Amino acid sequence: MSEHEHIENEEKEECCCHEEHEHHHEHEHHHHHDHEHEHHHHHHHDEECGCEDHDHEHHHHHHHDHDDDCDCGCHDHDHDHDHHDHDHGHTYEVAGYSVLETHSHEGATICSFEKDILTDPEQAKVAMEDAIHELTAWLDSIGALIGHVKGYIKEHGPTTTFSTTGSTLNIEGHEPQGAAIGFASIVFGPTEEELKDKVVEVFERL
Amino acid sequence: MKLIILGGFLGSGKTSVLIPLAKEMVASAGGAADGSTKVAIIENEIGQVGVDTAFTEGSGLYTSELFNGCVCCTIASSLMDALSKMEDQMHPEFVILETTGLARPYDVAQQLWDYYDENMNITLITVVDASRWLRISRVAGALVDEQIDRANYVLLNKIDATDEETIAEVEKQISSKCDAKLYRVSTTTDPEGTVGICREMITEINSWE
Repeated sequence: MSEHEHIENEEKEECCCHEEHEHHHEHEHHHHHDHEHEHHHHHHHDEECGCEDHDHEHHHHHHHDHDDDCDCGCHDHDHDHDHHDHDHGHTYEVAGYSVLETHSHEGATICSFEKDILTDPEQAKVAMEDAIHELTAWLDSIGALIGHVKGYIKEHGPTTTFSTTGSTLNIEGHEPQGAAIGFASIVFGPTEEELKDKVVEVFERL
Repeated sequence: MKLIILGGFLGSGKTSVLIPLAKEMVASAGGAADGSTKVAIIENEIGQVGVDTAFTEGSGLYTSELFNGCVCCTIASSLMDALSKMEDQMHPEFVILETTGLARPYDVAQQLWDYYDENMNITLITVVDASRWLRISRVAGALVDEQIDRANYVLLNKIDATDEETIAEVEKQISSKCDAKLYRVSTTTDPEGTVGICREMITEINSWE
Protein backbone atom coordinates (compact mmCIF):
# COMPACT_ATOMS: atom_id res chain seq x y z
CA MET A 1 0.00 0.00 0.00
CA SER A 2 1.13 3.56 -0.46
CA GLU A 3 0.49 6.75 1.42
CA HIS A 4 -2.24 7.76 -0.96
CA GLU A 5 -4.37 4.84 -0.02
CA HIS A 6 -4.49 6.15 3.52
CA ILE A 7 -5.41 9.73 2.97
CA GLU A 8 -9.00 9.09 3.86
CA ASN A 9 -7.86 7.87 7.25
CA GLU A 10 -5.72 10.84 8.13
CA GLU A 11 -8.16 12.24 10.63
CA LYS A 12 -7.98 9.00 12.55
CA GLU A 13 -4.26 9.21 13.04
CA GLU A 14 -2.91 9.98 16.44
CA CYS A 15 0.52 11.03 17.49
CA CYS A 16 2.56 8.19 18.85
CA CYS A 17 3.56 10.47 21.69
CA HIS A 18 0.17 10.45 23.33
CA GLU A 19 0.60 8.69 26.57
CA GLU A 20 -1.15 8.44 29.82
CA HIS A 21 1.57 10.49 31.45
CA GLU A 22 2.55 13.89 30.24
CA HIS A 23 6.01 14.71 29.02
CA HIS A 24 8.37 17.56 29.41
CA HIS A 25 11.12 16.16 27.26
CA GLU A 26 11.89 17.80 24.01
CA HIS A 27 11.35 15.99 20.72
CA GLU A 28 14.29 15.68 18.42
CA HIS A 29 12.62 14.13 15.46
CA HIS A 30 10.39 15.77 12.94
CA HIS A 31 6.83 14.81 13.40
CA HIS A 32 4.78 13.99 10.41
CA HIS A 33 1.42 14.77 11.89
CA ASP A 34 -0.65 17.79 11.08
CA HIS A 35 -1.57 18.53 14.58
CA GLU A 36 -0.59 20.87 17.27
CA HIS A 37 2.96 19.78 17.90
CA GLU A 38 5.61 20.41 15.38
CA HIS A 39 9.32 19.86 15.46
CA HIS A 40 10.21 20.79 19.00
CA HIS A 41 7.40 20.34 21.34
CA HIS A 42 7.48 20.12 25.04
CA HIS A 43 5.36 17.80 27.04
CA HIS A 44 4.87 17.80 30.73
CA HIS A 45 5.84 14.66 32.38
CA ASP A 46 4.75 13.31 35.70
CA GLU A 47 7.08 10.40 35.34
CA GLU A 48 9.75 10.27 37.98
CA CYS A 49 13.35 9.96 37.00
CA GLY A 50 14.13 7.58 39.78
CA CYS A 51 17.39 9.33 40.45
CA GLU A 52 16.45 10.71 43.81
CA ASP A 53 17.78 7.74 45.65
CA HIS A 54 21.51 7.75 45.50
CA ASP A 55 22.09 5.21 48.18
CA HIS A 56 22.73 2.54 45.64
CA GLU A 57 26.18 1.19 45.30
CA HIS A 58 26.71 1.83 41.61
CA HIS A 59 27.65 5.03 39.90
CA HIS A 60 25.38 5.78 37.04
CA HIS A 61 25.38 8.27 34.24
CA HIS A 62 22.45 9.72 32.45
CA HIS A 63 22.58 9.66 28.73
CA HIS A 64 19.95 12.11 27.74
CA ASP A 65 19.53 15.84 27.58
CA HIS A 66 16.86 17.72 29.36
CA ASP A 67 16.00 21.38 29.30
CA ASP A 68 17.39 23.56 32.03
CA ASP A 69 13.94 23.94 33.48
CA CYS A 70 13.31 20.21 33.41
CA ASP A 71 11.86 19.11 36.70
CA CYS A 72 12.69 15.44 36.43
CA GLY A 73 14.86 15.62 39.50
CA CYS A 74 17.98 14.59 37.63
CA HIS A 75 19.76 17.90 37.61
CA ASP A 76 21.26 17.70 41.02
CA HIS A 77 24.01 15.35 40.03
CA ASP A 78 26.55 14.68 37.38
CA HIS A 79 25.32 13.34 34.09
CA ASP A 80 24.85 14.09 30.45
CA HIS A 81 21.51 14.41 28.84
CA ASP A 82 20.29 14.00 25.35
CA HIS A 83 16.85 14.56 23.96
CA HIS A 84 14.35 11.75 23.91
CA ASP A 85 10.67 12.07 23.73
CA HIS A 86 9.40 9.15 25.75
CA ASP A 87 12.66 7.65 26.79
CA HIS A 88 14.20 8.35 30.08
CA GLY A 89 17.18 6.23 30.77
CA HIS A 90 20.22 5.53 32.82
CA THR A 91 23.42 3.67 32.18
CA TYR A 92 25.33 2.15 35.06
CA GLU A 93 28.97 1.30 35.47
CA VAL A 94 29.04 -1.97 37.33
CA ALA A 95 32.03 -4.27 37.51
CA GLY A 96 31.69 -7.21 35.12
CA TYR A 97 29.07 -5.55 32.93
CA SER A 98 30.05 -4.10 29.57
CA VAL A 99 26.54 -2.65 29.29
CA LEU A 100 23.93 -2.17 31.99
CA GLU A 101 21.12 0.26 31.29
CA THR A 102 17.56 1.03 32.18
CA HIS A 103 14.99 3.30 30.67
CA SER A 104 11.28 3.77 30.42
CA HIS A 105 9.14 3.90 27.30
CA GLU A 106 5.39 3.81 26.77
CA GLY A 107 4.87 3.03 30.43
CA ALA A 108 7.22 0.04 30.26
CA THR A 109 10.44 -0.27 32.24
CA ILE A 110 13.37 -1.67 30.32
CA CYS A 111 16.59 -3.12 31.71
CA SER A 112 19.22 -4.65 29.47
CA PHE A 113 22.78 -5.76 29.98
CA GLU A 114 25.71 -7.50 28.39
CA LYS A 115 28.56 -9.17 30.22
CA ASP A 116 31.34 -11.64 29.65
CA ILE A 117 31.41 -14.74 31.80
CA LEU A 118 33.96 -17.44 32.42
CA THR A 119 31.40 -19.97 33.61
CA ASP A 120 31.23 -23.25 31.73
CA PRO A 121 28.54 -22.79 29.03
CA GLU A 122 26.44 -25.71 30.30
CA GLN A 123 26.49 -24.33 33.85
CA ALA A 124 25.81 -20.87 32.47
CA LYS A 125 22.70 -22.19 30.72
CA VAL A 126 21.34 -23.57 33.98
CA ALA A 127 22.28 -20.40 35.85
CA MET A 128 20.63 -18.23 33.19
CA GLU A 129 17.47 -20.33 33.39
CA ASP A 130 17.41 -20.06 37.18
CA ALA A 131 18.04 -16.31 37.07
CA ILE A 132 15.20 -15.73 34.61
CA HIS A 133 12.83 -17.89 36.69
CA GLU A 134 13.76 -15.94 39.80
CA LEU A 135 13.23 -12.64 38.04
CA THR A 136 9.84 -13.60 36.58
CA ALA A 137 8.73 -14.99 39.96
CA TRP A 138 9.62 -11.65 41.55
CA LEU A 139 7.77 -9.76 38.81
CA ASP A 140 4.70 -11.93 39.38
CA SER A 141 4.94 -11.39 43.14
CA ILE A 142 4.79 -7.60 42.74
CA GLY A 143 1.95 -7.79 40.21
CA ALA A 144 4.04 -6.62 37.26
CA LEU A 145 3.07 -7.42 33.67
CA ILE A 146 5.89 -9.18 31.89
CA GLY A 147 6.15 -7.73 28.41
CA HIS A 148 9.14 -9.79 27.36
CA VAL A 149 12.15 -11.18 29.17
CA LYS A 150 14.82 -12.58 26.86
CA GLY A 151 18.49 -13.27 26.63
CA TYR A 152 21.25 -15.22 24.98
CA ILE A 153 24.50 -16.97 25.75
CA LYS A 154 27.05 -16.76 22.99
CA GLU A 155 30.12 -18.91 23.42
CA HIS A 156 33.37 -17.36 22.36
CA GLY A 157 34.56 -19.36 19.38
CA PRO A 158 38.08 -20.23 18.36
CA THR A 159 40.05 -17.47 16.68
CA THR A 160 42.86 -17.78 14.18
CA THR A 161 45.33 -14.91 13.99
CA PHE A 162 47.70 -14.05 11.15
CA SER A 163 50.91 -12.11 11.64
CA THR A 164 53.88 -11.30 9.45
CA THR A 165 56.71 -8.80 9.11
CA GLY A 166 57.48 -9.85 5.58
CA SER A 167 59.26 -13.18 5.50
CA THR A 168 57.20 -15.55 7.59
CA LEU A 169 53.51 -15.65 8.12
CA ASN A 170 52.67 -16.82 11.62
CA ILE A 171 49.29 -18.43 11.97
CA GLU A 172 48.06 -19.24 15.45
CA GLY A 173 44.87 -20.74 16.77
CA HIS A 174 43.39 -19.47 20.02
CA GLU A 175 40.79 -21.18 22.13
CA PRO A 176 39.18 -18.47 24.19
CA GLN A 177 37.28 -19.37 27.31
CA GLY A 178 33.89 -18.29 28.43
CA ALA A 179 30.96 -16.67 26.75
CA ALA A 180 29.05 -13.44 26.44
CA ILE A 181 25.56 -13.13 27.77
CA GLY A 182 23.00 -10.58 26.68
CA PHE A 183 19.72 -9.90 28.39
CA ALA A 184 16.74 -7.60 28.08
CA SER A 185 13.61 -7.29 30.17
CA ILE A 186 10.69 -5.08 29.24
CA VAL A 187 8.05 -5.05 31.94
CA PHE A 188 5.27 -2.93 33.35
CA GLY A 189 5.27 -2.20 37.05
CA PRO A 190 8.62 -1.76 38.76
CA THR A 191 10.71 1.40 38.64
CA GLU A 192 13.97 1.39 36.72
CA GLU A 193 15.93 1.25 39.95
CA GLU A 194 13.91 -1.66 41.33
CA LEU A 195 14.21 -3.62 38.11
CA LYS A 196 17.92 -2.95 37.73
CA ASP A 197 18.66 -3.96 41.33
CA LYS A 198 16.72 -7.21 40.93
CA VAL A 199 18.34 -8.01 37.58
CA VAL A 200 21.82 -7.47 39.03
CA GLU A 201 20.89 -9.58 42.06
CA VAL A 202 19.56 -12.58 40.14
CA PHE A 203 22.41 -12.54 37.64
CA GLU A 204 25.00 -12.35 40.39
CA ARG A 205 25.46 -16.10 39.99
CA LEU A 206 26.79 -15.73 36.46
CA MET B 1 12.33 -2.04 -2.66
CA LYS B 2 9.40 -3.41 -0.70
CA LEU B 3 9.36 -2.80 3.01
CA ILE B 4 7.64 -5.15 5.40
CA ILE B 5 7.06 -3.69 8.84
CA LEU B 6 6.78 -6.60 11.22
CA GLY B 7 5.20 -5.33 14.40
CA GLY B 8 3.33 -6.61 17.39
CA PHE B 9 3.41 -6.44 21.15
CA LEU B 10 6.29 -7.65 23.29
CA GLY B 11 6.73 -11.40 23.23
CA SER B 12 4.13 -11.97 20.51
CA GLY B 13 6.60 -13.94 18.37
CA LYS B 14 7.81 -11.40 15.83
CA THR B 15 11.32 -12.83 15.65
CA SER B 16 9.92 -16.35 15.25
CA VAL B 17 7.95 -15.18 12.22
CA LEU B 18 10.84 -13.15 10.85
CA ILE B 19 13.14 -16.02 9.89
CA PRO B 20 10.63 -18.13 7.90
CA LEU B 21 9.30 -14.96 6.31
CA ALA B 22 12.77 -13.87 5.22
CA LYS B 23 13.67 -17.33 3.96
CA GLU B 24 10.49 -17.55 1.92
CA MET B 25 11.28 -14.15 0.45
CA VAL B 26 14.71 -15.34 -0.60
CA ALA B 27 13.08 -18.42 -2.16
CA SER B 28 10.41 -16.37 -3.92
CA ALA B 29 13.07 -14.13 -5.42
CA GLY B 30 14.51 -17.22 -7.09
CA GLY B 31 18.05 -16.63 -5.96
CA ALA B 32 20.26 -13.66 -6.51
CA ALA B 33 21.70 -14.18 -9.98
CA ASP B 34 23.33 -10.78 -9.98
CA GLY B 35 24.90 -11.36 -6.60
CA SER B 36 22.75 -8.73 -4.92
CA THR B 37 21.12 -9.30 -1.58
CA LYS B 38 17.43 -9.91 -2.04
CA VAL B 39 16.36 -9.62 1.57
CA ALA B 40 17.74 -7.43 4.32
CA ILE B 41 16.58 -7.13 7.90
CA ILE B 42 16.51 -4.18 10.22
CA GLU B 43 16.20 -5.08 13.88
CA ASN B 44 14.96 -2.36 16.16
CA GLU B 45 15.43 -3.13 19.82
CA ILE B 46 14.37 -1.04 22.71
CA GLY B 47 17.38 -1.68 24.91
CA GLN B 48 21.07 -1.19 24.25
CA VAL B 49 21.58 -4.94 23.93
CA GLY B 50 20.54 -6.68 20.73
CA VAL B 51 19.02 -9.94 21.91
CA ASP B 52 16.88 -10.50 18.81
CA THR B 53 19.90 -10.01 16.59
CA ALA B 54 21.36 -13.15 18.16
CA PHE B 55 18.49 -15.08 16.52
CA THR B 56 19.04 -13.66 13.05
CA GLU B 57 22.83 -13.70 13.05
CA GLY B 58 23.07 -17.33 12.06
CA SER B 59 20.44 -17.07 9.34
CA GLY B 60 22.81 -15.80 6.66
CA LEU B 61 20.64 -12.74 6.14
CA TYR B 62 22.04 -9.24 6.21
CA THR B 63 20.91 -7.61 9.44
CA SER B 64 21.20 -4.00 10.44
CA GLU B 65 20.64 -3.07 14.05
CA LEU B 66 18.91 -0.05 15.50
CA PHE B 67 19.24 -0.17 19.26
CA ASN B 68 18.15 1.84 22.21
CA GLY B 69 15.03 3.49 20.98
CA CYS B 70 11.84 2.97 19.09
CA VAL B 71 11.69 3.74 15.38
CA CYS B 72 8.18 5.09 15.62
CA CYS B 73 9.46 7.97 17.66
CA THR B 74 12.94 8.37 19.08
CA ILE B 75 15.15 6.98 16.33
CA ALA B 76 13.09 7.47 13.20
CA SER B 77 15.94 9.31 11.50
CA SER B 78 18.27 6.36 12.12
CA LEU B 79 15.78 4.11 10.33
CA MET B 80 15.77 6.39 7.32
CA ASP B 81 19.57 6.41 7.28
CA ALA B 82 19.67 2.61 7.50
CA LEU B 83 17.15 2.23 4.68
CA SER B 84 18.96 4.70 2.52
CA LYS B 85 22.26 2.89 3.05
CA MET B 86 20.68 -0.47 2.24
CA GLU B 87 19.06 0.84 -0.89
CA ASP B 88 22.29 2.40 -2.15
CA GLN B 89 24.63 -0.45 -1.31
CA MET B 90 22.55 -3.61 -1.60
CA HIS B 91 19.49 -2.88 -3.72
CA PRO B 92 17.40 -5.43 -1.82
CA GLU B 93 14.07 -6.54 -3.17
CA PHE B 94 12.65 -6.80 0.34
CA VAL B 95 13.56 -5.14 3.61
CA ILE B 96 11.94 -6.46 6.76
CA LEU B 97 11.88 -4.09 9.69
CA GLU B 98 11.20 -5.85 12.96
CA THR B 99 9.99 -3.15 15.28
CA THR B 100 10.16 -3.11 19.05
CA GLY B 101 7.17 -4.54 20.85
CA LEU B 102 6.17 -1.03 21.84
CA ALA B 103 6.09 0.51 18.37
CA ARG B 104 3.10 1.49 16.31
CA PRO B 105 3.79 0.09 12.83
CA TYR B 106 1.49 2.50 11.03
CA ASP B 107 3.29 5.48 12.58
CA VAL B 108 6.56 4.14 11.21
CA ALA B 109 5.00 3.71 7.77
CA GLN B 110 3.54 7.18 7.84
CA GLN B 111 6.90 8.73 8.72
CA LEU B 112 8.55 6.88 5.87
CA TRP B 113 5.90 8.04 3.43
CA ASP B 114 6.24 11.60 4.68
CA TYR B 115 9.98 11.90 4.93
CA TYR B 116 11.54 9.11 2.88
CA ASP B 117 9.44 8.17 -0.13
CA GLU B 118 5.73 8.86 -0.49
CA ASN B 119 5.36 5.99 -2.94
CA MET B 120 7.25 3.45 -0.88
CA ASN B 121 5.67 0.00 -1.03
CA ILE B 122 5.02 -0.83 2.61
CA THR B 123 3.21 -3.83 4.02
CA LEU B 124 2.24 -4.00 7.67
CA ILE B 125 2.27 -7.41 9.32
CA THR B 126 1.36 -7.50 12.99
CA VAL B 127 1.91 -10.53 15.17
CA VAL B 128 -0.50 -11.01 18.06
CA ASP B 129 -0.12 -13.37 21.00
CA ALA B 130 -3.55 -15.02 21.05
CA SER B 131 -2.96 -16.41 24.52
CA ARG B 132 -2.26 -12.99 26.06
CA TRP B 133 -4.22 -10.57 23.90
CA LEU B 134 -7.21 -10.24 26.22
CA ARG B 135 -5.03 -9.56 29.27
CA ILE B 136 -2.70 -7.18 27.44
CA SER B 137 -5.68 -5.32 26.00
CA ARG B 138 -6.78 -4.50 29.52
CA VAL B 139 -3.36 -3.10 30.44
CA ALA B 140 -2.17 -1.55 27.19
CA GLY B 141 -5.33 -1.45 25.09
CA ALA B 142 -4.56 1.74 23.20
CA LEU B 143 -1.11 0.54 22.21
CA VAL B 144 -2.16 -2.92 21.00
CA ASP B 145 -5.09 -1.44 19.10
CA GLU B 146 -2.72 0.93 17.33
CA GLN B 147 -0.37 -1.92 16.58
CA ILE B 148 -3.04 -3.59 14.45
CA ASP B 149 -4.26 -0.29 13.05
CA ARG B 150 -4.35 -0.48 9.25
CA ALA B 151 -2.31 -3.67 9.21
CA ASN B 152 -2.46 -5.69 6.01
CA TYR B 153 -2.03 -8.95 7.88
CA VAL B 154 -2.46 -9.98 11.48
CA LEU B 155 -0.89 -13.27 12.49
CA LEU B 156 -2.61 -14.74 15.51
CA ASN B 157 0.30 -16.59 17.08
CA LYS B 158 0.55 -19.02 20.02
CA ILE B 159 -2.82 -20.55 19.27
CA ASP B 160 -1.45 -23.73 20.80
CA ALA B 161 -1.24 -21.99 24.17
CA THR B 162 -4.91 -21.14 24.47
CA ASP B 163 -8.38 -22.53 23.75
CA GLU B 164 -10.69 -22.19 20.76
CA GLU B 165 -13.11 -19.94 22.65
CA THR B 166 -10.33 -17.43 23.44
CA ILE B 167 -8.99 -17.53 19.89
CA ALA B 168 -12.46 -16.86 18.50
CA GLU B 169 -12.93 -13.94 20.89
CA VAL B 170 -9.54 -12.45 19.94
CA GLU B 171 -10.38 -12.84 16.24
CA LYS B 172 -13.71 -11.15 16.80
CA GLN B 173 -12.08 -8.22 18.62
CA ILE B 174 -9.35 -7.79 16.05
CA SER B 175 -11.76 -8.01 13.13
CA SER B 176 -13.87 -5.29 14.70
CA LYS B 177 -10.84 -2.99 14.94
CA CYS B 178 -9.11 -3.46 11.59
CA ASP B 179 -9.57 -4.88 8.11
CA ALA B 180 -6.42 -6.98 8.12
CA LYS B 181 -6.37 -10.47 6.72
CA LEU B 182 -6.19 -12.75 9.76
CA TYR B 183 -4.16 -15.92 9.96
CA ARG B 184 -3.82 -18.37 12.82
CA VAL B 185 -0.26 -19.58 13.40
CA SER B 186 1.82 -21.41 15.94
CA THR B 187 5.48 -20.77 15.26
CA THR B 188 6.54 -23.35 17.85
CA THR B 189 4.20 -26.27 17.23
CA ASP B 190 3.51 -25.76 13.53
CA PRO B 191 6.53 -24.15 11.88
CA GLU B 192 5.57 -25.64 8.50
CA GLY B 193 2.16 -24.03 8.70
CA THR B 194 3.85 -20.70 9.44
CA VAL B 195 6.09 -21.12 6.41
CA GLY B 196 3.02 -21.79 4.25
CA ILE B 197 1.31 -18.65 5.47
CA CYS B 198 4.48 -16.61 4.89
CA ARG B 199 4.58 -17.98 1.34
CA GLU B 200 0.94 -17.01 0.79
CA MET B 201 1.53 -13.47 2.06
CA ILE B 202 4.64 -13.00 -0.10
CA THR B 203 2.81 -14.19 -3.20
CA GLU B 204 0.09 -11.68 -2.51
CA ILE B 205 2.56 -8.85 -1.74
CA ASN B 206 4.38 -9.56 -4.98
CA SER B 207 1.09 -9.42 -6.86
CA TRP B 208 0.50 -5.84 -5.65
CA GLU B 209 3.25 -4.47 -7.84
